[in-house]
Formats: sequence, structure tokens, C-alpha cells
Amino acid sequence: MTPDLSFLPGWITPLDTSFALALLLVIAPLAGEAVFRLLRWPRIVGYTLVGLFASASSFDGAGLELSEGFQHGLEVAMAVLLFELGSRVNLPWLRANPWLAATSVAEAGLSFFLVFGIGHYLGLGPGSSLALAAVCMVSSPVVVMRVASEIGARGQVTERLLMLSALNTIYAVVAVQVILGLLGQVHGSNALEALRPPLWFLLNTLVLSIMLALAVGLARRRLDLANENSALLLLGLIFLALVLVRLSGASPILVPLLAGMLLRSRDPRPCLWPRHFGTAGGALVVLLFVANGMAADWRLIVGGGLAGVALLLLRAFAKVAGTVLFGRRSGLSTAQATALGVALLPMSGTAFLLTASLYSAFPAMGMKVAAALAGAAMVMEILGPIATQWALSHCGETPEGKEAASGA
Amino acid sequence: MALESFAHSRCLTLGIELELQLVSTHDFDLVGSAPDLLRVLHQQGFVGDVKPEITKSMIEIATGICNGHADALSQLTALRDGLLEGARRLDIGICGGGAHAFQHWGERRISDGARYQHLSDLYGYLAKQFTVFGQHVHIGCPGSDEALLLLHGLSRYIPHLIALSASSPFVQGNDTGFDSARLNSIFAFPLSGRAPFVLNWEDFKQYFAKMARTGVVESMKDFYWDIRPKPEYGTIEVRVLDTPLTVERAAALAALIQALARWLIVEKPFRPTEDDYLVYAFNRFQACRFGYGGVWVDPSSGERGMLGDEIVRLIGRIGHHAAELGTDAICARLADDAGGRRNDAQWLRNKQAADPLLPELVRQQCLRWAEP
Repeated sequence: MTPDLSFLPGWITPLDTSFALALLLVIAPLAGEAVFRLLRWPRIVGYTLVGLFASASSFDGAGLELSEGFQHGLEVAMAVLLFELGSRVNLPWLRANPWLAATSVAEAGLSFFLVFGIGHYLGLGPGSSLALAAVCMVSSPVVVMRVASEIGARGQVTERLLMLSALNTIYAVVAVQVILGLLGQVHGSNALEALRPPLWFLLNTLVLSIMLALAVGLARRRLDLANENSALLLLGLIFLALVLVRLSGASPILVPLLAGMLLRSRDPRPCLWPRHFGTAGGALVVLLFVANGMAADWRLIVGGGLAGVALLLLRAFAKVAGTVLFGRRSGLSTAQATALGVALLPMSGTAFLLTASLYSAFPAMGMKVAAALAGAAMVMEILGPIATQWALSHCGETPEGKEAASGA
Repeated sequence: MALESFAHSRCLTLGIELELQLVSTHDFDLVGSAPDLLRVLHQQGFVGDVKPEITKSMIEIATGICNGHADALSQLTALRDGLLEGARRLDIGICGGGAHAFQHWGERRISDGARYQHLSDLYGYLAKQFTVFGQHVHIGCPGSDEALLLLHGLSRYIPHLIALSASSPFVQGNDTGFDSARLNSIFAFPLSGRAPFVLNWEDFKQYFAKMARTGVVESMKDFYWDIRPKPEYGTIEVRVLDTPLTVERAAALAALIQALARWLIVEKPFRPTEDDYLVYAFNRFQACRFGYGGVWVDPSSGERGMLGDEIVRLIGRIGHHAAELGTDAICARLADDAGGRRNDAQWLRNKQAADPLLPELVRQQCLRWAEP
């Protein structure tokens, strides 16, 4: 029942969504700072908690969440983080250090197989188990990138964390598309037909990422990207790319990630811009983590129960075992390799997005995967950033006593 | 603790130490990867002397005892190639240069190890500011008194060596106007500067004993002099050079010091006196600040000249000693550089003028260091 607000002046009527947005933008930074000062946790844990409480107290999230502008804003925030991550990834490193490539395959592969096993054990059926396994390979690139940059981490574990997170994101997106294609085949078409959609999807993705990389490459040749104005241009280019992504059905995850990687590999001149492309991007990133919290239903943590706990533990085992397996051969100490595995634990935003793409194609399966995943993903939204921060500072890759200096 | 006795070494043999920068290949700022690099080098069976330094983004390589320039260059090249192989596995960059162009000293981390922690406690922020990169050249001396004579003889030519090796114009993100700003970090230490003017080893031992009794020093390592005797190697160690951008230049500078030493030992062209040091600090400052364009005051005659021209003249004067050592072409090339006012500081400034992005400058330094 809507109260009669006709006596209010006209400008108050759009109160619903903009008020919610404003309130979140006030509360989230405060919560982030509180969490940071009191508990020394990453600020994004505070943002996510605000989202969780908002959804738990049935604060008018729905209106905000459904508003198209808000959704687009979140996509831009995510794309910004993915693009930043991509531009940090130096692919020739994999050739110079094949054991690092082996580590990537090991940690993602182990996660895939172990989670598939759980899915099977839970009776999810092969299709849903495969999808769940694919989604669980991801070490949320968004969380990883944000935490590493918030605490100013530098060093071997940080660089490898970014590399492995970018790679397992690519594996997962491709795997989900292939699974979708294969499931399409089950639904009654031939093999060639089945592979057409994922190929088409990848082609679109590739073309768009090349276009984005070219555009940013052109901009940086003419402009100093460290300057706030040029950073806004980057934000605009990414926004534009996302509009094209939506029109062409390419991957909103892979396009910015691959574009960043292409940019880095095509032009070795250092790419440096303000973190998250300046304050505008920064504000969107805060909202992204609030929205992540809002999207999750805290009742699912309880509902996920033992299965969720098992999923988390096995996935954690897979990540750590995968990095320790070839850790020394790839040039890390055992302590560093273990820390790398722990730092890879976050899963959240990307997992939801992938699940959403499953859901839109096969609602029944999407629901099953979401239910199995939700509890685990929710817990990891809180624990993941803490794990990454702990791991990076534990192996001495954060500035001494300076965690406070680089704020949100 | 008493000073160890002066070991025997073959006259005019060479040893070179280079302190190198470890940088991230993403933003080209310094990165504290020395422990990782040492571990990887060990794994790949790297043979050669490689050590950590006071902060974790520095690494030091050292040759063994070299007969001359060719030997030194081949040892340095092998060390460089081994280091680069390790660096590729870690995706880090290695470069020369006396100072990093834009690092912030506050972000440095002191290396593990009792001595480094002690230095950090003692010197406070100076220890982190000590993240500068030098080349040290050891020259074998026939005896301890000869070593002191050579040390004080060479002191006159410290400005020449500074101008030739200078490669630290940018510090903390700015052009300092100096060709070698690195030495300013070293002058801040209380025991930096020059060795006391004594010409025989007994007197030097007494000086050391007196200093040790005050508790100010425990070993020769506590003196940060521009040139200091290294009794356990039987050498004197020239420490004013910035790490050059290439191993070729590092070897050439060592060859020049060797030729100078031969000239001073064989010809004894002048007798060093305490008064030589009246102009020492002035000359050294001029060299750091203006490079080849600095003023050099001849300590004996009091005549003033431009350092670049003085270098050309000096190398001409010691030419036949270089020829005896087989390095006349190498030294002549250094004279050409001085005549043309070319050094690594100039190279860095030219690059930065073409592209003002300092991380890009550091990337160019890495490429230059890795050039075969």
C-alpha cells in the first residue's frame, strides 16, 4: 500500500530509489571504515555487510536493484576492476615460467573436479554439477583486484594471485558457455549446432575486446591517463563497450578482462591510471560490493547447510593443493605457495553473474546451482576478502604499518 | 676489535661489485623481490656471488678476482645473464642506474638479517634512504703502505670517476639537477667522506684502534668512505661510482681505475699531501652536481678547469699504462664520452625528455641492462 504523498513538493517523489542510493553511499563507506578500524578487515567486507543487512531487513533494495541505471552502474564497476586486472596480466610470463601455467591448470582443475564430485554426490545431475564446478573455479577477480589494490600489495604472491585469478575467470566463462552449448545439444540438435553458440559468443567477445583495447590504446597515446579527466574517458569507453556487449550477447566479464590483457601485451609502455579510474569509478565499486551483499539471501547460508560447508572446504583444499603442488618448482617458498592458495579463495560477484547466465538459459538448472552455491558464495563474500588480505600481509607483501594509508 | 692484517693480493687485479635495482614489470616501481630472486637463482644452479642488500628491492653481484678488463667483462656478463634468467621466471625487471627515478623511500622494507636490522635501528630513515645503487671496484695492491699511497693518490680523481659513472639524475620523481644525486644519500652518514690522511699501515691501524675504542666503529664496514682499504682482500675499494646502465660501462670504468692505479704505482707522478683534501669536497660536489660541466680545481697548482676537459687530458696522460694493460681502446672511448659530454645521466635525461613518464624511463633502463 503506497501512502498518499501528494501533499509533498514534486521533487520529493523520486525519493524511492535515489534516497536508497544516497543512504547506501553514506552508510557503506562508514561501515567500511568501521570494519577496517575495529577489525583490520578489508573495507569491502563492510560494504558487503551493509548490503546483507539491507536485504535481511527488507530495506527497499528491490526498487533500487531493478532500476536499470543502477544495474548498468554495477556492470561498469565490475568491468573497471576486470579491465584493471587484465592490464596487470603479463602473458609471456607463462612461457618464461611454465610451472606457473601448471599451477593455474592445477588449482582450477582440482577445484573443478572436486566440486563436480560434490555436485554429483548431492544428486545435482551431471549438467548442474558441471555448471557448479565451472562456477567454483573462479577466484573472484573483482574481490582479488580490489583487496590487493586497497592494501597496496606488491610482490610475487600478489602478481601470481592476479594472474591466476584472471586465468581461472577465463576458464570458468568459457566452460559455462561450452556447458550451455552441450546442454543445448541434449535438448535435441546436432553437435555442430551445439558448438555454434559458444563459438559465436567467443568471437563476439574477442572482437569487442579488441575494439576496446584499440580505443584505450589510442587514448593513451594522446592523453596522460594519470590525469582525472582522461580517466573519465576510460570510464566512458568501458561503458560504451558494455552497451555493445549487451547488444551482441558477448561476455560482460571477458570483454574488459581480455581488453586489459590485450592492451598490456600489445604495448609494453606502462599502463598507469588512477585506481578504479578515479573517484567516479571508486564510488561505483563501493556500490558493487553493497549490491553483492544485497543480491544474496542470508537465509540461504542456513539452507546451504552441511553441503555448503563441504563445498567450501573442498574448494579451499583444491586451491591450496593446486598452488602448493608446483609452488616450489615455480619459484615460490612453500609458505608463499600456501598463502597464494588462500588468497585465491574469494568467490562472489562473478559467481553470481555466471549463475545468472545459467539461470536465464535453463531456469530449473540455474535454480539448483544457485541454491547449492548460494550458501557457500555468501560465506565467502565475507571470508574471501579477509582470506586474501591475510594471505598477502602474511607473506610480507603489504607496506609496513601503512595499511591505513591507502583508503577507499 | 683489532684491524685484520693486510692480505696479499696480486697487484692491479680487479674485483667489481654492482648493486642493482629490482622493479615490478607492471608499474616499474621498486619491488622487494630479493629473497625470491635469490631462491630462484639457487634453484637454477646459478654460480656466482650474489647477495642481498639493505633493502629488499636491491641485489648485489660481485665478480671474483679478475686479471683485467676482458676477464671482468665476461664475468659480469655471465652474472647478468644468470640474473636475467631468474628475473624472467619471477616476471621482475632488473636495471642499473644509481637511484630509482620515482620510488618513495618510506615504502622500502629492510632485509632480514641481524646486520641490516642493526643498521636500520641505528640510522633510522637514512637506512631506507640508502636504497641507492653503486658500483664498487677493488684494486689489488702489492702491500699495505702501497695501498694507502694509492688510496690518497686516487682521491684526486674521484670527481672524474663520478662524472663518468653518474647515472642518478632523478630521485623521488623529480629531476634533481644533479648528475649523481645518489652520493647525497651517502654523505648523510656520519662516517662517510674520505679516509684519514695516513700513509703507512701502522698509523692506519692506530687510527682504527682509536676509533674502535670509542665504540663508534666495529669493523672497516662501518666506514662509508669514498675509497677505503679492504685488508682481508688486500685491496683498496673505490665506492663513488653510480651503478652504470650496462655491464660494458661498468667494466670500462673498472679498466680506467686499473690504468690510473698502474700510473700512480709505477710512475708515482706526485706525492699525495693532506692539502690535497682542501679542494676535495668542492671538487666532488661540482662533479655530482654538474657532471662534466663541473669545475675541477687541481689540488697542487690551484688551477681551475672544466671536469670534462680534465678527464680527456687525464686519460691522454695515462694512455700508455692503459696500453700496457690492453685497455687503451676502452679508456679512449671513455675520453670520447667525456669530450662529447655523454654519460648515463645524460642518456636518462634524453629519454625522459622524449617521454616524460618515469615508469617508462625505468622500463627503458631495464631494456638497456638486458641488451646483449
